[in-house]
Amino acid sequence: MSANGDARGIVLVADDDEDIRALVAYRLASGGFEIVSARNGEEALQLAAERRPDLAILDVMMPRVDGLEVTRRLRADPRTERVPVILLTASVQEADVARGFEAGADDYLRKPFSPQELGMRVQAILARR
Amino acid sequence: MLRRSRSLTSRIAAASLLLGFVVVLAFALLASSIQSLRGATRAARRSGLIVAAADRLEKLAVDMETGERGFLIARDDLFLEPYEAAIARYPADVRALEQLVASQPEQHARVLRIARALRAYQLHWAAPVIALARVNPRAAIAREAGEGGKRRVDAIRTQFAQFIARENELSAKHTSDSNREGLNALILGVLCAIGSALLIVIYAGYLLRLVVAPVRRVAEAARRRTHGDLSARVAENGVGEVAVLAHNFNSMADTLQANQDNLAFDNAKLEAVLNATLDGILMTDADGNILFSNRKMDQLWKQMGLRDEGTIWDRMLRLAQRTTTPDAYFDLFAELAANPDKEIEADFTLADDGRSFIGYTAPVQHKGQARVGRIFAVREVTEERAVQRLKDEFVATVSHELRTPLTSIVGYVELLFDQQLSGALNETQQEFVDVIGRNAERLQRLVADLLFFAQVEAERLTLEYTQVDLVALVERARASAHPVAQNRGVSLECNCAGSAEIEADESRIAQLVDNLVSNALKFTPAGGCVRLGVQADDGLAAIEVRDDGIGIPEAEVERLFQRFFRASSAVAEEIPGTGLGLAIAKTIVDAHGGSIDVSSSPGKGTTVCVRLPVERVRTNGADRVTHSGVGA
Repeated sequence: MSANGDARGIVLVADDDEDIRALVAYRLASGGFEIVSARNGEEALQLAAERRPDLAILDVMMPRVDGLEVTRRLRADPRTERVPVILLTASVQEADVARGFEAGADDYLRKPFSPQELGMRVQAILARR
Repeated sequence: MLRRSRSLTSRIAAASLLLGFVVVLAFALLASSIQSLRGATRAARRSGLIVAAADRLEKLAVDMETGERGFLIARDDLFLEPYEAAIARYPADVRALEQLVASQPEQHARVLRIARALRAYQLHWAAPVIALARVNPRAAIAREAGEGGKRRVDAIRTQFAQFIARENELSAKHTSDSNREGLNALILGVLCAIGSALLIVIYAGYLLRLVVAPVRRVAEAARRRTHGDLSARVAENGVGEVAVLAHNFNSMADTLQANQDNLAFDNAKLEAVLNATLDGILMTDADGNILFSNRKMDQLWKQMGLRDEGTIWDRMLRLAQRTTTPDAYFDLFAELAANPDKEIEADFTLADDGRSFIGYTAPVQHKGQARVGRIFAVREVTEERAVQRLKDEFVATVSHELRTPLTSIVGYVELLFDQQLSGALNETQQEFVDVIGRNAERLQRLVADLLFFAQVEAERLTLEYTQVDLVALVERARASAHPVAQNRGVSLECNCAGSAEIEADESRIAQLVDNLVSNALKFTPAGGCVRLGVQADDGLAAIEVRDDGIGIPEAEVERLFQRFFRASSAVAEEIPGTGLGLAIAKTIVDAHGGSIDVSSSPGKGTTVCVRLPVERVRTNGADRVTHSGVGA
């Protein structure tokens, strides 16, 4: 399934905050994943189409195309419709969480999150597949 | 004002009686006059009969004498026949005459005298002379020649003449009486007729003045009143019932005027209120024709540049085409057409200038039955929506801008502790990173608390009601606080018997209990004890958190629920905190319709008791959490 035989899988990380992208990358790279980073929604969609990631971690609040819209478009594209999506959200509102699941997300984490917890969720989701 | 003493009825009755009495009296007079006329006429007629009877009797007397004398001369019995016939007849004729004059003593006496004279003539003169003539005709003729018989008959005839003269005199008197009485009766009859007619005219006039004229005045006033003359009144100077009628009419007119005045005043008030309201209000009849539209509605209509003509539905269609969602509006119309008794509230935004409104419409019922129309209200909420948007943006921005750096801080601190990733830290480094981690956590809590209130402020915090097992929830709170309690050397006990289920937002109640428990732990020194209790009875569930910590001065208990308020004891003991925990607790409790009480004594400890209704309290706030009571 993976495009890269050496890694345990490709994870797409999209967040406009460079530090957070790096944080996720550090954590997941140590778990043996190949990380593909995007600075915004557009890039994320482009990379998703190019690299066919095994999982996408998307920040909800991103410039240009937000995480919810990226999720929806991933789901609409037959090439990426089965890619699991974990949303990262800074929102405290329950409604936003609901909207995330409506868009097609598999899981969500509220910021600030524990990188360790994120790693475990990624493993759990991939293990189910 | 009212002359009830003599009612109309009694007056009319009295007048009718009087009229009847006078007419009866007049006719009684007339009758008596006719009666006496009849009497006089009868008397005159009887006088005629008496005179005739007397003539017949006198003729008999003459017949007696003539017969007697004829016999003397002729000596033939044939000449005696009139005599014999008169002798046979006269007693009966005398009796008949006697009867006729029975009521007249004077004439009766005369008749008796005549009868005696006739009898004397027959017995003492005629009979002896006739007997003598049969024996001695010459002697009889000589005796007759002595004129004795003629003299006697003449005396009788004189008596007859007197009797007849007297009777004729009486007859003349009776006739004149009769004539006079006839004239009298005629005059009286005419007088009675004229008098009766006059009385009836007077009576009719009296009735007219008493009844008809006042009734007509009332009728005229009523007609004027009907045509809108509010001042129409009638004089109350009538009699009895008529005065009562006039008075009652005036009272009715007064009441009507007062009612109309009140109504006009009420209308003016209502109109003033409607014109003073900031909402556009409009009312239509059942067909959608506009009955009333307040000033604000007219203004809005003008501002939207919509023609204000046609029925409400014409206007609504024009309005719908101007909104951002015309189709949604057409759906609403269809719904209303299908179910005209529906009450509908809907938001709409104008496509061209982005102004937002809330529209409301409901049927108007008359006396709780038939639908007589609809009321439409519209409120501009452009500014409210803008403020709401700003608040929402604030919450979102603050969330994002604070949580994103916090994510990095917390995350990288965690990475630092991962020796595999970042290598081992020396002791000092470890200590420094601990401090960063602790403070990041504090900051995280503060941000969470602040966002809680920002959400409350933006009315974006809603309760998700489910059945919540309070005992289990408190037990979980105890379990998760257990490590902290152990760390501080405080024992944490849960004294929860049985089960206590309530309808509530589980995550908010958990937040509440966590807040209370962490508060209690913070204010309880090592060796102390925090006890949790849950109880449920009579529709209320109580959660109690009791500690034997430093306590709070009584004067400060009331202010505990204010945001950012920190008890002096907490400050003195340098116990960290933001002063938001209890304010959040109170907001959550209030949103559930419960109550929260704190009792405390410094040095001995604090007890916080939360009471929550077992069944959800329905409010019109759509489960929105507001900060009513917070900081009060």
